[in-house]
Amino acid sequence: MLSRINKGNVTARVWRIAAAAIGICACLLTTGCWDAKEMQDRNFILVAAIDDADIVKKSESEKQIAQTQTFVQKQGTKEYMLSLQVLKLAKTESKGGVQAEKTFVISNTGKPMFEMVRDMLGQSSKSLYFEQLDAIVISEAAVKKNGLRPIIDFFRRDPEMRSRTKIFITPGEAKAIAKYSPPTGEPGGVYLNGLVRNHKKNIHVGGARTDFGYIIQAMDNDADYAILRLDYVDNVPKLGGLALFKHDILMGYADEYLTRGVKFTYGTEKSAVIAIKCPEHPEQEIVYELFQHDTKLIPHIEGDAIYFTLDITMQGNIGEIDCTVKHDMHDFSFLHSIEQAVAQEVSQNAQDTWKFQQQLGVDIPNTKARFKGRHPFEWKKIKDRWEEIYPTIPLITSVNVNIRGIGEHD
Amino acid sequence: MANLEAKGKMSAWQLGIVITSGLLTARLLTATSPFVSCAQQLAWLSSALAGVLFYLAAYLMIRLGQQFPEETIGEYIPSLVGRKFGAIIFLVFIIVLLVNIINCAAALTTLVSIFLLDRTPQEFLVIVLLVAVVYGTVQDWRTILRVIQILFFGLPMLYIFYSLIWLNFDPLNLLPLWPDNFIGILQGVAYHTNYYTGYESLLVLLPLANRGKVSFTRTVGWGFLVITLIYVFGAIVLVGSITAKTIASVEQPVIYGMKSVELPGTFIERLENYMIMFFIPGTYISMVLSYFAIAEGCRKSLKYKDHRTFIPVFLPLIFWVSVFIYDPQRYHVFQNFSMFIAFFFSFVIIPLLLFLVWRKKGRDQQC
Repeated sequence: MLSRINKGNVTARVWRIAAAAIGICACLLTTGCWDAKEMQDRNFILVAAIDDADIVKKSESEKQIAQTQTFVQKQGTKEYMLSLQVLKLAKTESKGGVQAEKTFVISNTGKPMFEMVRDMLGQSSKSLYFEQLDAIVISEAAVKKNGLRPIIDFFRRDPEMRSRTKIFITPGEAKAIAKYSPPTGEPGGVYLNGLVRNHKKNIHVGGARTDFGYIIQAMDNDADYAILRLDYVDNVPKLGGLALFKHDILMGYADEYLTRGVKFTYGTEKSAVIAIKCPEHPEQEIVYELFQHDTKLIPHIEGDAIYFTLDITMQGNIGEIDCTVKHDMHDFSFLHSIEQAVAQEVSQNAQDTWKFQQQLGVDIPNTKARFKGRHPFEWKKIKDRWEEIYPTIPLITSVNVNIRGIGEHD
Repeated sequence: MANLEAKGKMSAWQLGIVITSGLLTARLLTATSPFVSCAQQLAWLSSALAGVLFYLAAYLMIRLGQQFPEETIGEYIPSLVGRKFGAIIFLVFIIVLLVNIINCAAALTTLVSIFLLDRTPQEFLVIVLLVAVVYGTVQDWRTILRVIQILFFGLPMLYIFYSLIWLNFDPLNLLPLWPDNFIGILQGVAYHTNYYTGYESLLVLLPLANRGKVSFTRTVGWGFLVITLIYVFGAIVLVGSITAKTIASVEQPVIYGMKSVELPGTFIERLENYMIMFFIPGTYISMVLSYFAIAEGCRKSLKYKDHRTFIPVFLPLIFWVSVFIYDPQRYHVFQNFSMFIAFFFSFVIIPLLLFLVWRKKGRDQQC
């Protein structure tokens, strides 16, 4: 009896040991450890800059492009130059008081993008890793060549890419921006990303709903979209204005004034500084600082007539008064006249932007989807004629401005 | 002090929890694109209708099981349709549950190989997953029940993470609210076989539950209601955040929606990875539950002492099919087959069996 029990115990123990051994072997063989890559074994890409290769060639030596920045390809063309800003993970030491750069740039020419990226491994000792991509900068010339879609298709498909990556259009050379080394000591990509984050306080930067994820969504929905404009002059990058796209084509740029109008209409401003003429001294300015708002853009139908109403409610403070004479800021009629002047300014701005978009044929606030959403039956009747109807649709604005405070010290 | 003693039978509420926790699996991740491409911005309506429909199926199964309180499906079908047809129906039941296990394995391992363990061969991931599932299934029911109750807490965490997608919500994406595409909405309902998985195991689990004052239809109904609400709100938030057209264009819309969320600061990144990890417990529960139901069903039907005898029988088949469908075309065919067989079993066979039971009862009463 005892021997039978012992025999049973031994068998059970052998089975358990065998199961544990199989489990350990399975773990060793099947976890990701066999192809694990440590952080220092990766080259993190921070900026991807895309240029028209023909234009870049004119600004660089032919020999350099021919030898290190191209490859022989049976299929495809040499239409684009892709430049990647790579983060140096090794500690950079300053030489002679000059801080060493934290990034370096590698380039390649060709098309398609993916083939270029893989060929660039010939310039990189480590694998290229796009999960930390901060910015995609595309030159105006590259976009005008074949539209935006072929340029960003690789970034759409690769699962490493992030939706919230910032995307820029530059009228100049994108590679120069990738090479930019900020005075703050930050890597260039992080600096560019930080510039966009300030859109909440800078009404001239349309940072909301203009990143990579929203551009893709707009493309999927056949909607028009705006991309941030980034200028680079004398080694200084400056963000301001928007590049406006219809389908895949760059239709034009909105300057800072029109960008402000787009944000008012779209309801994407978080804060704004609105300068108006002083009601009593028209040669001087008063600045209204907006800090809270509510925007409603609603389509209406009356008979055959279609129109949109834009209702804006704003709350804010007096931010600055440039008048040489001191005003009585406890005079409610004066404050009310400022409110009216701000409302007039905002209304005019929205109207100017609306007309500009209609002339250009772009529809950034997606009036098409708003109309379809509110009036699905009427939409079915006019959807084929929408492109003709859109430029004729009037906008009726109603702006209500409140002054909550007059500043810290009057 | 709480009684932590393991019990062989479960309460009606525990049955509700067990079935609920097996419904929400990684299978829904790949099914979201085709379902939303049919129902468009009214995906939430499709999810609500599907909830009602699949609860109806579960309700019919409970009513059928209640006619044979101590028996599983394999035991009582021969008395209704004869031995041959009984065997065929029991085989269909096993296939439905096997399909769930295979789909869960394929969905989870695909996800892991793309987002967590980059390019790890599918075969190895399936082996590891099956080892874990077998380890869970060879336990007795009371241990399995305890494990399910612990893993159940993964589901609220999953939904908390998912709720972060609200940060990108835009109500314009849900308009128009008027349903002008009724056929698309109904087609979307059919794709919900991937959203309501493994509840067929009720036909084996019912004898393991104590019949008390609370009815099974109520406890399971609460479970279905919770899951349906999760799906309805999930559809609203997903479509509202990344639009129906984008959902139709990406392979893993829920993961894509999660990838679109960036929290301020750098303390937590790559939220989609956390969400995938929280899908693992739900999927694991569903697989263990389905596999246990197969083994227990076979044991009872064939009058064996131990359900563990039947566990190795189906392993090669599960492994082979899970790996075989790792090809878009085969996967598509298999998905269509899964949908067909699940609907056929729930909405043709079960109502038919219930009809036969009621007719037989009517005759017996007349006699």
